[in-house]
Amino acid sequence: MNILLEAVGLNKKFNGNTTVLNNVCLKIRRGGIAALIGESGGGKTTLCRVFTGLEKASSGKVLFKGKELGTLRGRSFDDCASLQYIFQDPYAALEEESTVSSVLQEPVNMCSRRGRDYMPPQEALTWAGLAGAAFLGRKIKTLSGGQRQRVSLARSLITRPDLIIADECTAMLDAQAAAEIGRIFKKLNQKLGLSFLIVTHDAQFLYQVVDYIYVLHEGAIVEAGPKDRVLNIPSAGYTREYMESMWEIEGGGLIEQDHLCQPQ
Amino acid sequence: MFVSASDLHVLNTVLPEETFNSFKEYYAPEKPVAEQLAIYIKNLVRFDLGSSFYYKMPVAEIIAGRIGWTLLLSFVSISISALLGIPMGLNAARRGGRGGKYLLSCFMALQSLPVFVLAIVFQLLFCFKFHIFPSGGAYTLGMNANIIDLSVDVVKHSVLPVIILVLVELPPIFSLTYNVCARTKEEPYVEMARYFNLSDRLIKFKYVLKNSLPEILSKMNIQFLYAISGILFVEVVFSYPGIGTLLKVAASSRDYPLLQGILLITGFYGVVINLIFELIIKKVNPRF
Amino acid sequence: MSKKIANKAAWAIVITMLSVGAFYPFISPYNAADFSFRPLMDPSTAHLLGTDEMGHDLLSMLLAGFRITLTIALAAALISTFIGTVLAVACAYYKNWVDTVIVKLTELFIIVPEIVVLLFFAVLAKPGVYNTILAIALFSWSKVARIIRAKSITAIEKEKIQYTLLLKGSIWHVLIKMWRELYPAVATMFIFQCSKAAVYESTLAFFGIGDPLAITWGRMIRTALNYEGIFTGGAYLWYLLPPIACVCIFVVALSVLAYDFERE
Repeated sequence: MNILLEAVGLNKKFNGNTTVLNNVCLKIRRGGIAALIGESGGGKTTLCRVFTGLEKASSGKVLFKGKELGTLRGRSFDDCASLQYIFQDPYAALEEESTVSSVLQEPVNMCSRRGRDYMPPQEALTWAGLAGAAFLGRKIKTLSGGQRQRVSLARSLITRPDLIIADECTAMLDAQAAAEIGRIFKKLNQKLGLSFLIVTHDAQFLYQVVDYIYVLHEGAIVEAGPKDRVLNIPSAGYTREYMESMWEIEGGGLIEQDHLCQPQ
Repeated sequence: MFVSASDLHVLNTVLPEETFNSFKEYYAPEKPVAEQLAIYIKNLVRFDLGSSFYYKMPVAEIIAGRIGWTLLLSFVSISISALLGIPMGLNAARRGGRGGKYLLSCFMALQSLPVFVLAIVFQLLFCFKFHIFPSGGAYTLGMNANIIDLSVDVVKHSVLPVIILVLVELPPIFSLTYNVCARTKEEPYVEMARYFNLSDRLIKFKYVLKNSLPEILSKMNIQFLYAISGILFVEVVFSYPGIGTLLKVAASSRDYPLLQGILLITGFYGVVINLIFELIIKKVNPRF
Repeated sequence: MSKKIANKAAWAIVITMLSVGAFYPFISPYNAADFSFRPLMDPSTAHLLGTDEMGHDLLSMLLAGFRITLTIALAAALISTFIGTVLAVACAYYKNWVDTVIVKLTELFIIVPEIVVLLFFAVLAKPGVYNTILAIALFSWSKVARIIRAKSITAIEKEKIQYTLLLKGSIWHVLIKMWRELYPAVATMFIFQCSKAAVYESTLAFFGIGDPLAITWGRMIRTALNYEGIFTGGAYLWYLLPPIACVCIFVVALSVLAYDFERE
């Protein structure tokens, strides 16, 4: 089994006593799409930020390709470039006044300065489903939320990463745009062998995109395993509760979506 | 006194040779820096700030003789500004409307002017044109009078400097109070009190002022620290015999030890003001 | 409505003053350094503001003062705004001890007023226009740093800037990326610093420090006050008041502009 990212006994406390992460251990294998689910405030975003280095864990370590990752300051550019992060809010992650091409130019400049092979912006945009040279000249503020999120994705692809961490990247999009993002993730996973760690509340994502699921409850991993097992025969009490609540809220819609999305 | 060899080199070009040599002997710039620093700190602990070139006297003694006048000006002007500024800001905020904003922008303009320019214009008008106040000094020299006449004389000399200082110190206190009170006025508990039809007076003092005061006080110490530079300049224009006039003499005669002493004493003043305000804030509101 | 008029008037004043400073040799009636005239003349058609006790034409001196005073103000403001902004961004970028040290430094300037420190160092330096500019610039950045630091700390938490951090962007990359966020505050501070530098320059000249040869408004005020007969006749009307008026108008016009910028 080829492990890409590994968390070993991660703890995180805020202000000395509020425990956000409680001895989190998980392994993310290369070439899969993993999902992280759990209640809001359960530490999902904190865990992602620890992985990216934006936040420092109180104890424990993060291994990436078998090598220990420190805080952002201690990481090499290559580590940063191969572990990309997509922000939740597509309206805050991109500069309103910039054009698409200048947004995509930033990682290109960073890569060429440090001698890392990069993907041409045009190609990255095509992968993200935004074909057409005319797109490069568009201002960010003229784009819809779904288009912005795909520009963010294209920006992440430029550094040719191994793993993309996406923190609720579809939470602010409508169902159609979210489904489109899911299809793109799947395609990138199959064609480029890119791995993903997705934080999501979206049932459709869990059923159609994801391979593995990790359940985070009160800062600890309570269940982990292949999608079908976790979704159909949840073993932990919390996972069962979570599934039930998800079905209660989204149950009706889920079947509808299945019908709509099947013929691709 | 702590001086590096390169500083001395600069002084060498501007000072007469005799003073330069005595200076060099006293401060021993050829010794290593650490040793100089040790000597400097040792002297400082004994309140030995070196001796002035210009007055040929110990710096500490000169400053001790002058500081009383500066403290007099600063405490009188600060008290008047606070006693005027806080009620003015409170009233303007309570009334709302354009009056307060208009006053605010006038004060903004006043605040940006150099203090000494303001002092010169006032001196020109009230001393030389209308002859209402004496044009300089803290008292009439050579006056042989009883204590009452002397006090009247001192007050007469200090009226104009104090007025100018109040003009400089009032605007920041006013705008601080105005802004804080205008914000407090919108708080739910004040709205509630208004809803209960409590008297305006009660709302003003019990609700708005009482809750704004800690914040006003915690920010006001900065205004007072800024005020010290104003005091120094006003003194220069009115040749008031305080630290400011001393600073002018020290600067124009390049009296390095005296300058350093003044720098230290203003720093000390700042620390003391900070401490006083911390005590007041603790008294008014133990939460802070 | 009246606010708009005040703003327009302030712009008009500042632009007029700057162009007088730029083109004064063409409008100046005589050479400012020429002292061959009869001393202490009252205003006449030949000498609109009369002459001083040395025999300089006062109007020419005043016009020459535009150039040097405004140059000092602009240059010192430019440098101090730059220093303050870079230190402020460094606070937000490096955090920890860098932040602590810079904050302590700015607090030091609150306890000991800038102008006193400035006087102290200006006395040590060789008198000259460049040293005056440097002295003002080096000791007047504390307010810029305090205000821009607060803005930078909020700005660096924005997702679009976090992306640059994730790519290991240097402090310059972050500064450029943040520029759009910081620009209004930096512009306000620059105008504010211009006015402050003009005040400090005149204060230094008033204390007799600074270039004894450079003709500035501050130096004119000082020589006027040193002239014993200034208040006995009408000499103050054309000798003392014009430079005072120039300083005041410049400073007030700038503070009107800064105030308007701040509100936008």
